[in-house]
Amino acid sequence: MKLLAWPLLFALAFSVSAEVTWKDRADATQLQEAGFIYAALDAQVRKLASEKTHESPDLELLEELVLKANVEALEDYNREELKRFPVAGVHFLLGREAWRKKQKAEAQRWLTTVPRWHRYYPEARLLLADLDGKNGSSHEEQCQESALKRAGEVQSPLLKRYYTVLAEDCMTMAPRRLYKEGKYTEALQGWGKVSKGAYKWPSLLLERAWGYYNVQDYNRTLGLLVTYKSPLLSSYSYPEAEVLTALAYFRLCLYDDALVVVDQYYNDYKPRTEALEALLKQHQNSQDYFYKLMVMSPAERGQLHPFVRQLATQVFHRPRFALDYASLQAVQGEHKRLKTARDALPAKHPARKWMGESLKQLAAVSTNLIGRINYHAKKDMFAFISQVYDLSEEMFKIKLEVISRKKDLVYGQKRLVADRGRGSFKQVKMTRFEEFWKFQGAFWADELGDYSFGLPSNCETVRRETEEAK
Amino acid sequence: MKTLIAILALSWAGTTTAAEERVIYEYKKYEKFDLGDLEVKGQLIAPGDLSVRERDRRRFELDLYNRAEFDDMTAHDINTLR
Repeated sequence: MKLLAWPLLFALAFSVSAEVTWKDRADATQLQEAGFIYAALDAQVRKLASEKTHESPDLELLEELVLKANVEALEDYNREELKRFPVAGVHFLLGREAWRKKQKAEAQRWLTTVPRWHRYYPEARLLLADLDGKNGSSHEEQCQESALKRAGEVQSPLLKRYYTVLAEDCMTMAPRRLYKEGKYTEALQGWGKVSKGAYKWPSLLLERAWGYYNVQDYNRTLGLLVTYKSPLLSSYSYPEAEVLTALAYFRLCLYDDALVVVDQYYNDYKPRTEALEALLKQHQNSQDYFYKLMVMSPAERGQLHPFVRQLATQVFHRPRFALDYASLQAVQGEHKRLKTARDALPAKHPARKWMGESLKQLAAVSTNLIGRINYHAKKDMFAFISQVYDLSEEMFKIKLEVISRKKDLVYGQKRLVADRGRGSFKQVKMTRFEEFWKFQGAFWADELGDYSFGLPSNCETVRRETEEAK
Repeated sequence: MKTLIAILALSWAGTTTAAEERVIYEYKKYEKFDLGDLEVKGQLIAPGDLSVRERDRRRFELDLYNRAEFDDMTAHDINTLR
């Protein structure tokens, strides 16, 4: 929560608004000087919307306000009006919306106009890189380079984290693209470039595990996935990791091990999803329950079901939540100060009218932000449940296939070469950049991500008669 | 004349319905089987050992899960940025 303290400091710095002589009409420059950024933005958008042609200083002021308030503050305005403003921040908003609607040409049209110096340039390049798809482009590189540069420049820890995560997102685009093209070895090299200290590193373990699975290095797949069992990564919950573990055991013909993982999946996730489903059903129509869940004190959160707590913590650590929450605090602070300023004015002061309208707008922005946080948290939780159910079908298929293979052995009068193949160093594949660590009952932070199992494939079969003759 | 025939027909139909007997079917309410007393004629055969006739089974391999791409994860990353 320390990261989110800056908007409060920002608000306190401008708590001198009571001394301002307010104009009769809302003036964006005056409001900005008095520290009312969101109210100033509203005033400036309304002013520009009422004009047929726009002066450069007015557009520059709008750009400045968008950067200070964040682009989300523009989400309530009419898009046709916004399209008339030649402002990069507005173009970014329009481009991102077109990207969400999968309108490629429209998105590219807006996003390419965001200039290099702009705060949203790295994110615009990320969206363009995604739109480029399998061809790959210079956008990935531009995105990573500019995001890293900005991460080094900004002072706010919140923005530093935003740019760092953004740079990591750009970095992972290339390996994902290579994976999609079936170039698994190259993809693994790309993922290998992401340092262990990266925010995204824990989630990338799963992607790397898929890469190793597809080059048939099942031991490395299992080693990477066992990393999620370490206490350091206890807040990460990936049902897909369990499915991949079962698949890797299945490919090694360690059928009993695969079945143990399948059973564990059902035993672990059934009570968890039940607890989550009960919570979602109870509060599915609430406009702020999930928002409150995010901003609970650690003591209150401690009383929740451990799994719900874990999911809430995951959502809490996302940059989107941090940015939205910081904006919400800034808007609420501004609303409070503007109300104080209005109440201090004489009863018939002409500024009271526009201040009342601004207060309504600020209240609406605040409600929207709470609704947005609530919606995203709820959506993430619903998505998680849906994923658990989808993957449980995949687990069931693995179980059926194991039973089928076992039947084949029985009808073919065969059995596997060993009942349960165990590890050996000989089975560990390593490049010169990879390490091998023996697991001795404890996870060591520097070893995480370098584990590999050493299980021999058990897929060789022997005839039963031969065995019995011996 | 027509009226008279109609009245006669109606009165005849009424008398035939009344003349039908009311039939009540009763089912056996309780029946006892003494299973111990039952005898089955024939020869009892039990298998000496479990055996499976060796044969090739037709394989229907299921299409197991494999991730084709990470597009959903990329979309998720972008959507959770802001």
